[in-house]
Amino acid sequence: MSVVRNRIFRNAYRDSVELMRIAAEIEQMSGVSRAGLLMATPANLAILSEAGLADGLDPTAGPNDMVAALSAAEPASAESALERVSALMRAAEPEAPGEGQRFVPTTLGESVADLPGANLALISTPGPYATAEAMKALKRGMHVFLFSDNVPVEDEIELKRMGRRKGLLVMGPDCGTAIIDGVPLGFANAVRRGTVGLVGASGTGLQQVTCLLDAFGAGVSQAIGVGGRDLHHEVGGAMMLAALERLSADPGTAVVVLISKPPAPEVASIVLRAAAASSKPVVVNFLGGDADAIRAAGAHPATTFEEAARVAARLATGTEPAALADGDAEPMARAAAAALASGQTRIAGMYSGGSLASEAKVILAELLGDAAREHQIIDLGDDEYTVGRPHPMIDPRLRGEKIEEAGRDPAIGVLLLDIVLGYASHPDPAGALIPAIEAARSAAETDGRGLAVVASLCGTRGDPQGFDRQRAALVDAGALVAASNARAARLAGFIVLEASRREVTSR
Amino acid sequence: MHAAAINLRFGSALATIARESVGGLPMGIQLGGEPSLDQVGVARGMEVVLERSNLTIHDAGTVVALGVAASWSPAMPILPLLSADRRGHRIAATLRLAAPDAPAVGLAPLLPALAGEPRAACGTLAERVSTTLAELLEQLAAGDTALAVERARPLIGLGPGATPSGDDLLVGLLAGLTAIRHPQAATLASGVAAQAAGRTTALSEQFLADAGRLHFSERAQRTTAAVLVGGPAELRSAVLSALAWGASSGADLLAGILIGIGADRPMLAHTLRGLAGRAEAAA
Repeated sequence: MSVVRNRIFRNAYRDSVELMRIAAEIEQMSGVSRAGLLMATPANLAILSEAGLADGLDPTAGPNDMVAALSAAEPASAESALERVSALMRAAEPEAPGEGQRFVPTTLGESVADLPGANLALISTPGPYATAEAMKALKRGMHVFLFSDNVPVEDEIELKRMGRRKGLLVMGPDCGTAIIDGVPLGFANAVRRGTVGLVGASGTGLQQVTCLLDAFGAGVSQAIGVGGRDLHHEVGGAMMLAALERLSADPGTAVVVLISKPPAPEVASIVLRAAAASSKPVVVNFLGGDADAIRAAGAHPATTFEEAARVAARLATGTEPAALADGDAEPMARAAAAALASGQTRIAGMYSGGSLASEAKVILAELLGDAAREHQIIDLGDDEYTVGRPHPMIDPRLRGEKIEEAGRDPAIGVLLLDIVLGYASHPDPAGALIPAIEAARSAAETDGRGLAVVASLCGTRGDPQGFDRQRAALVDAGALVAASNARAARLAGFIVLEASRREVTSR
Repeated sequence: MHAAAINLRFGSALATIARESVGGLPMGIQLGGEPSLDQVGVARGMEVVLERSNLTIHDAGTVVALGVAASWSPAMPILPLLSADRRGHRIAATLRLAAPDAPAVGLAPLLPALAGEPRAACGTLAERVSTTLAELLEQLAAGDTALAVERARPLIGLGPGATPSGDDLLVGLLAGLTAIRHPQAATLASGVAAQAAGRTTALSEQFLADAGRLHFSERAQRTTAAVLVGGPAELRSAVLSALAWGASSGADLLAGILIGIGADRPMLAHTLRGLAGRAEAAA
């Protein structure tokens, strides 16, 4: 048995997203089986009637009234749910600003009026609207941190041209990370301040290098993101060049680090010429890039993010950084491979960081040669997976589903993950993935297989998620936790090499 | 009263003062910038006076000076006429972009269902109206506009939102028909507008009344143009923007535009009937 209750809200217009949110909350309430919030049009009343939710409905309800209708296990639950609807409807009603309320600016103009002298705008609107906002900020003489993605490349070129003309930085679009004068913007970590200045066309690359600099005892003067397309042919490295000029002239910066996926060749030449002209030592990490060309420009090549951090830390502190403590990879790989069943020779890399995924591909290609193509390294932060959804560093659900899928695949022997801590990331990224990791391992076990889980933890002990707590949670879930993504990728590679070797030996 | 718009009633008509990002609206006044309109002191029930070129709300101390405003035409721009096959390709390309991210509410599930995703619309409002939509298209093909209006009627006021999904879809469908210069677009539009009186919310009734005169919002115009003749970036941007309007309003509108643009393709009505058939088989 269930009871049906409904309530009319006269002339109640609310944003449809708000109504959906309210309906979803009510359906979660104890004892409530169904709930709907609809405008009381004849067509909608017919639907409610068919669904058995219109019993006792006030016949005077009209198309401009909203009806909340629900069914519940007993009258008390229904009444309580309707009261909750009323409260949520009141909360959704726009209020005039009253005394004592904190003013929340909703436009750039209001923000500048509220904070005179502001010289940087962080823009995070849907892509189609971002260009206009960035233009407005540049016209006001403000640097721009453009978090938005899906901005056309033509717009990026125009924005960066304007930025160059005005001597302003345009960090982005699709810029995930920056640390400006010690203030983290977007996804960034709590790193110590110091004398290493970084420019990155790679968000998680910047995070990885800044975190490892911190681990090596060095610090960051500025970390300037420029967006993943900055070193593409069309954009020409406009902002990497502008940022390099600034860091070269910055008295607080002693060493410069440049980070990118392989740039367009002509752009790489221009950037390396600029690096050669810098008065400061420059470390260059163009993933999979040409180390000889970098050396020829008088810069220091680094093939991984870890190496970039290590070289920069050495240059900045004058001492060789201590080794990262995460165990000896080869014995760990042998032990992990021994637990795998026959045929489990593939890696499933489920990444939230695009640059970390790219780095893993480069490392696996070096380690495994052509066989690296058999392994699946997915960047779940790519546009393909994020249109209409939050980034996987914020919302781990999609990655959880993919991890569970991998657990059911009899060819997968290693699950390779990045866990990125820091501001703006999920409050408990390891904890959020552990149920999926456990489900994947359990599915494999049921099927008579093992499943090695290798994770890298990108973060510092100052990060809000608690570095040690995150690490311990992963270890408790049976994961092998590496101190850098490069180490995790190598460990994953060693495991499948060992698993393949065992296959051959057993034949 | 909303942050993005204030609706003003003039007799049976509604006029809207909206932020720049809402775009042009028939019966609309677009303001520069993105002010929070729910914070300017205007409240429900206040009197609005139109005197000379000023729109004044004395109780809120608010004057909108219209004398310096530029005018904008709500009439659908004249777009190149494409062959039915070419339109079919454009519809398919749009559906490929829209289907993966279409919300699961209102009539938005029509997008993945029309894109051929298995069982995408099953059990939804979209599945419920698929036969009605197929019949509407069949009546248009048969040249019986009066019966097409009859078939459109159950969609009026149907579904969630302050502009119910069925209305958004109908506006889109009429925009699509207008853009391809369908011979029955005007008659169907005026017929649907007449049926809408008292059957839906005041805001939706106004949008359908505008569509009855073949007047459409700038958003509807731009989306229709992008679907028909936009380059890849423009189409992608238009689809993403549409999917971001409200809970499902933009997606409902987009589904309508695609159905309107493909209205003379018999395959579309067949596909829509297939959605209902599939549900029956599942039942």
